[in-house]
Amino acid sequence: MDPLWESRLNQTRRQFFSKAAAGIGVAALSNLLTQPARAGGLNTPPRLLKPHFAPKAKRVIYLFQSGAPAQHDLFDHKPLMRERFDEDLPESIRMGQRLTTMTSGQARFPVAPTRYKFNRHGDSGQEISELLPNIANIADDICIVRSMHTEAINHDPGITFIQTGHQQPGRPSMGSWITYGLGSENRDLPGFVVLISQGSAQRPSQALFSRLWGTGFLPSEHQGVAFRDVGDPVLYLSNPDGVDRASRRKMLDALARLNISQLERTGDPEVNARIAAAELAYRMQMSVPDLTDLQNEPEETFHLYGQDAKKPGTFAANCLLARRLAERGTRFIQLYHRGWDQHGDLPRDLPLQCQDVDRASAALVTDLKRRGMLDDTLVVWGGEFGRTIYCQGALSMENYGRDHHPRCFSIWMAGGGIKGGITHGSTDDYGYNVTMNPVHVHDLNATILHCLGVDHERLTYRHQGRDFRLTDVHGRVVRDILA
Amino acid sequence: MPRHKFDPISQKAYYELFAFFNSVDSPAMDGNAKDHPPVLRVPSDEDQLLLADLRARINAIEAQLDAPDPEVDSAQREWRATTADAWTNGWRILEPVAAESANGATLTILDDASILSTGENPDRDTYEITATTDRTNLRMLRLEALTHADLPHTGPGRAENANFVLSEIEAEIASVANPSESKSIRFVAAAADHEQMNGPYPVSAAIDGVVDNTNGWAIEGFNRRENRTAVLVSDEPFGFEGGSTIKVRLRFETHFPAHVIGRACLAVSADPTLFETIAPSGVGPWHVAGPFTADNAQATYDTAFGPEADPLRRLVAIDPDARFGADGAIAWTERTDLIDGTINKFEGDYTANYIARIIHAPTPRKLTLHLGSDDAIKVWLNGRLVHENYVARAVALDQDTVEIDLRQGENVLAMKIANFTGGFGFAFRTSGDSAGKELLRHIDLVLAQDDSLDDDERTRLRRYFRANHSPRMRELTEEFADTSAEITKTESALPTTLVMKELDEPRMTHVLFRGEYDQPRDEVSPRTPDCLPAMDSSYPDNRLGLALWLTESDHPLTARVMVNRLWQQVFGMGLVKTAEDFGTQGERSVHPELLDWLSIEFVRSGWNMKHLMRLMLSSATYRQSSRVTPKLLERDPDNRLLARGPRHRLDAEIIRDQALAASGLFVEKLGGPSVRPYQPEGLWKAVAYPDSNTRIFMAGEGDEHYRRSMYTYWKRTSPPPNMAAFDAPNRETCTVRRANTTTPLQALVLLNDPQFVEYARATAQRAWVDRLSEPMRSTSDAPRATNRGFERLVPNAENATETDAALSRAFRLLLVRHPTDHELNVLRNLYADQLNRYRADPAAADKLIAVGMSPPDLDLDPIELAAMTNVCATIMSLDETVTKN
Repeated sequence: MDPLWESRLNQTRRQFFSKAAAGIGVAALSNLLTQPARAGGLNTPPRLLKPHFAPKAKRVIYLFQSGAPAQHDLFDHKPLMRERFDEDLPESIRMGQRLTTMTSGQARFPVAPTRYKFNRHGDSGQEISELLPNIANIADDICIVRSMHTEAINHDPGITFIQTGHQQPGRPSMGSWITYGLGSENRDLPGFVVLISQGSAQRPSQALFSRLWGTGFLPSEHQGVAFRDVGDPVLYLSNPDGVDRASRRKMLDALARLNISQLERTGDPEVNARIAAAELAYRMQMSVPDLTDLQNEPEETFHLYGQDAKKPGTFAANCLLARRLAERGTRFIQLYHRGWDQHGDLPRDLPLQCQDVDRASAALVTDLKRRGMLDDTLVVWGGEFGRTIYCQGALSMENYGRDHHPRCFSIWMAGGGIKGGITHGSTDDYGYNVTMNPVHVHDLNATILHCLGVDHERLTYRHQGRDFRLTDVHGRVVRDILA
Repeated sequence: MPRHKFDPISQKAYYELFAFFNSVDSPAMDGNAKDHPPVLRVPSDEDQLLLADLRARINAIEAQLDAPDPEVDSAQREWRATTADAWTNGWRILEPVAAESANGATLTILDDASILSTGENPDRDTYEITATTDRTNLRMLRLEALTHADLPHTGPGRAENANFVLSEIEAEIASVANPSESKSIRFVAAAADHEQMNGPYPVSAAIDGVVDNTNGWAIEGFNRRENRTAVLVSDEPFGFEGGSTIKVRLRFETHFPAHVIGRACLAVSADPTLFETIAPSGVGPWHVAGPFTADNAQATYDTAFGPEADPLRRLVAIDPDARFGADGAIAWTERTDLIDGTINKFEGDYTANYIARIIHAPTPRKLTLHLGSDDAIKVWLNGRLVHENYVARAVALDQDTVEIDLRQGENVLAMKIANFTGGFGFAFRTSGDSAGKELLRHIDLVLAQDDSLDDDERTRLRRYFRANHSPRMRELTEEFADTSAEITKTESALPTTLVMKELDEPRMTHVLFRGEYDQPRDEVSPRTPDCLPAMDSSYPDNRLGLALWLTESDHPLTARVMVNRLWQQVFGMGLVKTAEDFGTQGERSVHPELLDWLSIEFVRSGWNMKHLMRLMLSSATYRQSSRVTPKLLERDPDNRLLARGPRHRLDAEIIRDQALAASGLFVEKLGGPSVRPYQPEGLWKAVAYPDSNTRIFMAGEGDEHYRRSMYTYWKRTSPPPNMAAFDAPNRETCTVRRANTTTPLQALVLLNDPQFVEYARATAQRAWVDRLSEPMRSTSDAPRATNRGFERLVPNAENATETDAALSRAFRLLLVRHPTDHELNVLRNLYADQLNRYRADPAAADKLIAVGMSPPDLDLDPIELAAMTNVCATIMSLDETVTKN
């Protein structure tokens, strides 16, 4: 029998022999455990019994900034643009890039240089804008990629593309691929967790869709589990009013007994899976509150992340939760922070968004580092595409907006096999085209998988007669940024 | 083109099939409307009767309205003659002696005294037209904007789309005899035969004294390229004895480029009959006096401040020199920024503002005011209180309706808006004085010779006369309008269903290079794929033809696919496993002859689904035991060879419906709008757009919680979580085969979802109540054949207690069989344990049985009920309960 599989069965065996499960007949139990379970259930082992090669990262925390943060104001310093204030974007730069219907009607495309100051930070001298002072403090730990590019120009296809490798919906998300491939290290918590926070920008934010953490055609158990910020973090986790844990245990004991007699009658090993599922649910009722209960978190943590981290549903709280999930072996932790779509009133809204995330993002990296976890945790920060150098709407020295821009955008990564303190790739003086070391979203995804020890070309799934993979038929690992 | 190995049909064939669906008559975006066209309304029998009745009534009225009536018809003839005469003779066309364009257009005076603008077409312009007249006592100016072959789309505007926006019209008149004697003509009212409705473009905008870059008289030139007529009324008669020189300035100063009139003609009138017939009332700008403050709401409302203070001259005039307030700092201020038909805002708690305006009425007449206020309001006309409303509310349009009687000439309308706290504002619009406009709209018909009118025009004229100038017929017209409104209201409340509709002109379909929507290549016509039998040439090349082709009795696919899906539903897996794909990448059928036979049988029965289901469900194959042995499992894990009966987990919706049915809470009602049973908070909000109308989930009321699951409202970006937990697809794409997983989230739903907790409690109630009728004796004398220690399937009657009966009943409600002795024993022990637990903590029992929308049965002991609830919840979570076997 496969050793990984065997060990998993042993866990279940231990559970049943523990005090909590007193009273179940031994004969029935051995019956239970020797039946092979069918594929597609709780007991499916991960696709890769071990990674393709030695991984650097054991887990990923993806800090997704939904709406497309404005790279010119955050990570891609373009000082020459100050001289070009209000000048039209030259055709030699634009080179026929398609525009969205939001600006295609504009008579002009005047350059809107950033209002914000950039400085060099850390020993590495990374250039980061004044809007992100805390991220600037961890400059030496992060790798900024300025040469990201994509084809998508609107949010739904854009975010679907970077998360699933295809602009049209229906394919598994990155988290599903990864848990499908590698499983999770903690059997008492979901392996793929999703945490959502709303941005403070005043302009209404773009929507999200539950299929962004869906499994597409992969087995459904690899679905992301979205934690809520109100009520039970995991849906239906708490027992109803008037049912305590002891009662629940008795009920589950009765359930197991009855199910076992069903098993004896029908011989269907699926029953095993259902018994195991109920037991896992019971364990999650302990493991999840343990995860979300911040009582044992020292006050110092909240100095680091900010007091917002005490408020469920904020980005800061989600970052802290991400660290705790990481500690407990969750494989893929996906955060979404909404509200980055600064088409207009950028000077009003972008600072608000940055305040939401700056401190906590840096705190997460710092926290992982001092716990010795940064080396095997890959942190990714970024959105679905970039924003234009030209102004959307009326341009003034004080106010401007930026439209969507696929040809270049910036993200950063830290830990998990990525070199810190470097900036990879560059864009032209307008911050419009990539001039060096382009990194396509497929390349980014290939690289993330690589850090986890997975060859992106070999983690596949046959569907409709074809071997699908996260990177479709593309993707090159970006070796220059690997530690 | 070579065939790709994955596509069983060529790219061209794909687009040929696509072509059948490419001529659908509906816009690409549905505007988030529920009933976006094309739509069919589906009336119930009662609705149909009601509508038939209303329509019969309206037809009868219409017949009457259109029927000859000697009295009315003769009145019409008389009126027509008089009015046509007054119009023809009452207007004196001004023959221009000069016409200048300020910004370089060429103005030519044509033979008919109209002025044509050609040549340069500046974005903004002012036309100054000079003419002389010997008339006096003139009261009205007529401006015609006329079409002409030289104008874009024949005009009447010179903009690309033939529209214009007349910012302002101004006029001066000077005496010919004594040119230094001159004055401006002030226009106080205007009517036009058409005004553009989608912005600040009524004809009154051309005389409001406000010249900015957005407002003015516009005429929807992009849709209606016809002559337009406007009539303007002056405040006083004009015209000097001995002749006058009139200068009329047409100013076009909005930001809409070249939106100028292309051909204009002016006329003046002193005719009193015409004046009475046409001249509308007009409102002047608002003047505001305030703020006046008080200590509390009542005082704010009651105190007669400033303008209201003088008992003799209260609000009879708007005196610009008057001063009010403690230090005389408050005066009437003209406020052209206060706009009718919108919400105008003020500021200040416990504050009142007076607003007043002049209304000019050429003749005495009624006018209807539609008012809104935050908070309270008082209205005076010429010093007399005509309306008051002491209310605290937020302002909206049309909150109060007031009918006022205007006297001839100047009227002063004054209002006091009294704010208590918070928002402060008012809204104002008028209606009911449209006689002038209506006449302008029909003047061509009035002027035409009777024998030159066609039937439509004659009807229009007759209807206009009867609606406006015949009291008897006016009543009928109102009844017509009311009935018509009722029909509209009834129809819009009818349930609708979305349908597809073909375009009148079929749309051309093209092969798309690499599937990219902006890379069309060869044209293709609708055509079925060659790998299937050809479509009968007599069938039309549209969806109807395709439907006929699909349902041919010998079509190789349709029946097989349908039969396979029904087989999948019954047996858990289709005879063709890939139920969604019968192509080369799908799986071949495991029992092809069976599939064929069933397909033929299906067609032969008239495509009768019930017949097919009955056939399958009554078959020996289906009725086999689903018990599986290790050998069987090894040989045929998925039961493709059907050596045993089907065993698979139920669909999400069925699991909930089953629990509902067992609980007795199930509401069997068919149809109706979607329902919203309980769902945890915040799920929709996490993903929705901030302005989405499905951002905040609100649970439904009453029955909505107990309907069949297929009626549950479905938000695809955040589907109901208890359904999603059991593999219900999110419905963003068509899913023929569902996943079938076993996860801890499912266990959590069954045990902790308040819906299921409520069903468990209701099942417990039912089991208790019915326990005495639960059969506890063996119904057959011999026990069933046992094997390897299997228990007798009917409980031992001798030891049965009422509790046992209730437990057995609960078990049977959910599993449709009696519990074995062993099972009953397990349940008994659980029940006993829970009974002790709740005896020690009765408050917990009360809490548990209160979960859910339905109240607990008060006749039952809460402790027993709580214990039984937990037993039922356990049974509900059994593998056997959620599995078909």
